[in-house]
Amino acid sequence: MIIKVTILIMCGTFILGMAVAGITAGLGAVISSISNHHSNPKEK
Amino acid sequence: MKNIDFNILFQGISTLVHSETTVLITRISLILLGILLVYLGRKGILEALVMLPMGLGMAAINCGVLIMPDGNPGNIFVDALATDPIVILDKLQINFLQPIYTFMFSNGLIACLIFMGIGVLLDINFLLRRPFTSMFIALCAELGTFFTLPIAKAMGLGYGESASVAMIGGADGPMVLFTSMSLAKELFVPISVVAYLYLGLTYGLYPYLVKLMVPKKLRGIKMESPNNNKQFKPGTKITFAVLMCVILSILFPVASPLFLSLFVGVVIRESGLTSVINVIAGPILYGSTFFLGLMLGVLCDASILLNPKVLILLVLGVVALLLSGIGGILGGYAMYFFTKGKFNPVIGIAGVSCVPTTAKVAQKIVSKENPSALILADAMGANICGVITSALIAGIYITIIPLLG
Repeated sequence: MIIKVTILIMCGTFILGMAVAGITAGLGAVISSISNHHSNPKEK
Repeated sequence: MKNIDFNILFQGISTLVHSETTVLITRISLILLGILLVYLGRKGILEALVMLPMGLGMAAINCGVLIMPDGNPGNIFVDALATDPIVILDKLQINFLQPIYTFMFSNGLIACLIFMGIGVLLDINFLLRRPFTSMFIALCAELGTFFTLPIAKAMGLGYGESASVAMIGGADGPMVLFTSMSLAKELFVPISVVAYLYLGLTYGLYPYLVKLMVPKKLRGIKMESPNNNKQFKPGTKITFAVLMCVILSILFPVASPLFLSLFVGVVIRESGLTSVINVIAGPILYGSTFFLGLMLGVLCDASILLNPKVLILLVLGVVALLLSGIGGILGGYAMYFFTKGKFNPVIGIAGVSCVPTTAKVAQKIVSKENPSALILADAMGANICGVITSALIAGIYITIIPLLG
């Protein structure tokens, strides 16, 4: 029982952790592209 | 003069002499341990800010036992076992540290204040540069937090106690305190004391673990990270903190005070509110850490530490931290192979949180082998992710473990 719970918690944490990393990377990329877009009006 | 009862006059000595042999030995041992902690804190071997008040508190509580009005031995420092509101109200007027325990400790406020201070000190720029690598390393460095849970259960601890002691693997003192206050209130004192004792010692011992697991030529690998000089705008960092706080609080409402404390610290830092930053990073962080040490010290009275489970906790604390260190380095190796030798595996140890100590340990080891190799930025990224993953696991444990019964 406890082994199963530990494995589930491990997998859950891994997925959540990677989701956090994904949000971080996505956020960084989106905000960078928005600020680049604003600083370079020719692209509009 | 004939009527003077020396047992009443010197109650500290009489309660010591008249106590049972086991209590007597434990009290004397704790007095000596307290003095040793003060010495080690003063010498800088253990963290002075925690160890000086903890050591002196431990010595004082075991000396200052007196006969209470009900005829039983007790103290006028704090009563951690009082639960009845009327008794607590009574104790608040007698025990000098009772207000701090009742209003700051038993509700986890002190852990949250320390976490807020940590949030103010975090520069999440390091995390935003290489989020996947940092997060992967940090997750690997939680090996001890995961595997100590079944080991502790197999050694006879309950689910809540096992999860609390497993949190030592996250190497984050306030997190251990918060989890054990939620899941194992009767053992939170020994678990927190073991955590703080080992955290101080482990940072001295992790370099040996790294040297044992990483050969000399790999320790000097120079990192080539194209993003190392990239600076994210405060707006990006605030958006990240707000999003993380909201998402994690929705997922784990029980641990939302921890998430709020951490991310409000980050938001304050990035907002540039200098006066608030100075208050949180100064008086609040240092004051809370000091009182945490003092409170843990005075809670170490013989009766609380005579629990036979303390010995198991001492073993499990080492196991948790050792496994996390090994997991972190293995994560570093995995990245080394993924990047075909361009990643320094020493960074793995920085995945074990407690900002910024393990990151500094990693940089120090690397600099010794190759003075031109700078890995601090990558190590700090893993380190900050370590704080987030520890909070994540604390949230998962506090939510799931009570369901197991």
